[in-house]
Amino acid sequence: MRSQSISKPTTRLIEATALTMIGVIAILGFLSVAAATQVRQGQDPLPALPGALVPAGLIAGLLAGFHLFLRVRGMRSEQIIWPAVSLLSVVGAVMLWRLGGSDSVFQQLGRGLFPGVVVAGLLVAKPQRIEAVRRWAPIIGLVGLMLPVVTALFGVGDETGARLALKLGPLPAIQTSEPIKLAMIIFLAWYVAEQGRAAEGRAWPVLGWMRIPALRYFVPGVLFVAVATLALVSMSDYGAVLILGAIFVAMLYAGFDTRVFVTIAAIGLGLAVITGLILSLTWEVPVVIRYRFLAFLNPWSTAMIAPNGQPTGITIAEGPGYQIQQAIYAVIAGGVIGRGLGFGSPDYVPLAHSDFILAAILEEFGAIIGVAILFLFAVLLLRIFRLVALLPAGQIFERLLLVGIGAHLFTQVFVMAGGTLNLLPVTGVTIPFLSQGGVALLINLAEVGIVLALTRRREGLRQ
Amino acid sequence: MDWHTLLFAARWAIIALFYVVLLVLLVGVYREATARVGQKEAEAAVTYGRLRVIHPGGDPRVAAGTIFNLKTETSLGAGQDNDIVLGDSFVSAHHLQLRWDGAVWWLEDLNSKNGTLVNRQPWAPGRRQPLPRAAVITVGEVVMELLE
Repeated sequence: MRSQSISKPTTRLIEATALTMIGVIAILGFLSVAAATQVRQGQDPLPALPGALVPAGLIAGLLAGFHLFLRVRGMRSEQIIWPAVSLLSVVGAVMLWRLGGSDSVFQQLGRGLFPGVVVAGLLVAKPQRIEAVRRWAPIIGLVGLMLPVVTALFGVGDETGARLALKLGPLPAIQTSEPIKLAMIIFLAWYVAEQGRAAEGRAWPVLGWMRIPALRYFVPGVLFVAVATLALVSMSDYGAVLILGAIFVAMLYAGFDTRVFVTIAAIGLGLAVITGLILSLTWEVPVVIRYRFLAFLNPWSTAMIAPNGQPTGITIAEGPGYQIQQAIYAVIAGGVIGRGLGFGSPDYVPLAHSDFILAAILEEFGAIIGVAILFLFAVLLLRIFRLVALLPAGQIFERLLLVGIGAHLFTQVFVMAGGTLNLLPVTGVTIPFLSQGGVALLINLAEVGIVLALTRRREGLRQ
Repeated sequence: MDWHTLLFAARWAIIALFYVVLLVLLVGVYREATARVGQKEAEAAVTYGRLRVIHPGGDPRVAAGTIFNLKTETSLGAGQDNDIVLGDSFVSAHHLQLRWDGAVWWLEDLNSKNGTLVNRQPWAPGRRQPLPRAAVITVGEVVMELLE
């Protein structure tokens, strides 16, 4: 009844068609950037073109390779996720090539795309490995939690002075705020699946309608988030705290009965408000947060430069409003079809390769592609949540994994796009698949691997 | 060769291809949605386990050896709206619910009048709990064995 499906290669026509076109986009994109850079300097573009084909070919090859792997493994369904991820990765790579040249692109490929595809492949090849993930969940959670703690104590600083990375000997520095998100998703999914089911029958009524389960059902999760928050705040990585919080709330909502969830959320919110009040009375709100909020409200205000009319010695270019100002200018300059690859001036936007890559994309690709990118993310998220609905009844761990992954991707895109367009304060969050970041890309691809592995496992069940 | 024109054309090509990819993905979703309708019926026919009757009890239609096929969620009781209908007089209208989560069988007694026995032990009502393997379930006077 639960027989192993015999893998016959499948056609996956939709995926193949989409990927072919994505390959062409990649080639056109890289060639355009190379040509434009030369043309702008008044030089002949032809000699620069073959060099551009190298990264294009590598990326196209890698993405197509995964597609072939899926075909050989006989995966029948879910032809939407991989093309969406591929197209996003291609846009990101082209932009990174434009901004940082070969170094940026090959770093993204070598430290993010390639390892990520390998990890995803390992998961899809043997979906039983998800069971192993489940058994190792407590250890994974602990290790993931310890990484930011160790980084906060012993980490190395980056260009903004924030201690975000761990350097182990000769290995390149790795960012530690990304793995903790996946670690938390895995840990919470495991814990709620193990304990939460029993919690359903044992919730005590509070104030009539609300229900609070025994403490041991949600305290470990809260502890995890608390320790992680402390570590991340001391690393000044507020964006990560925001994302962890959003993932936690989403998984709580999916994992518990509505009344239990509302009770816990109310308690949590109450504690947060009290903590906030106490902190604001006894401890200065970190300058960074205050400035980011002010910059959000009015990027052109001089309040940060000269509060009370007294100049503080910070020039406009250093003020926190500068980032957003430049991002807004970049988006406006882009218009609908953009200034053309290689013809914009993304260097004027600070952190254009990570936090504000969307501004650079909007400037050169235009809003028409920007909208399409948002569509792609929407499609990706909808596929993930569709899989949640399609899982057989009762697979709590898998369900929560998917909800956590979906919440992770959604929050990143939402907060990052919001920050770029000045709809939300800037939070130092990077956007999945587009921003520069080896570990971040690796983690996001691992999450995609989990989703595809669960899809594949579902195919096996039906036989 | 006017590179500016070429690059302009390339830009439009990229935009067009981008949206064609989106279109292709939408077509994929559409085809999947229409194919799923046929799949629904096929899925309903899959069984995930069976109950074999050991002692038929008071229902004349049930004999020893009768096999009931189980779905992911199966309801059992005397009422006609259950997946498994047992006419034994000691079986409540909605007696119990069986659930398969992909790895383990869960049984919930729906606060039935005479309760449920699993391996001859009373089963706590009102809560979904995992069943041991090859459990022997007694409902009213009907004794059944869970086969996976």
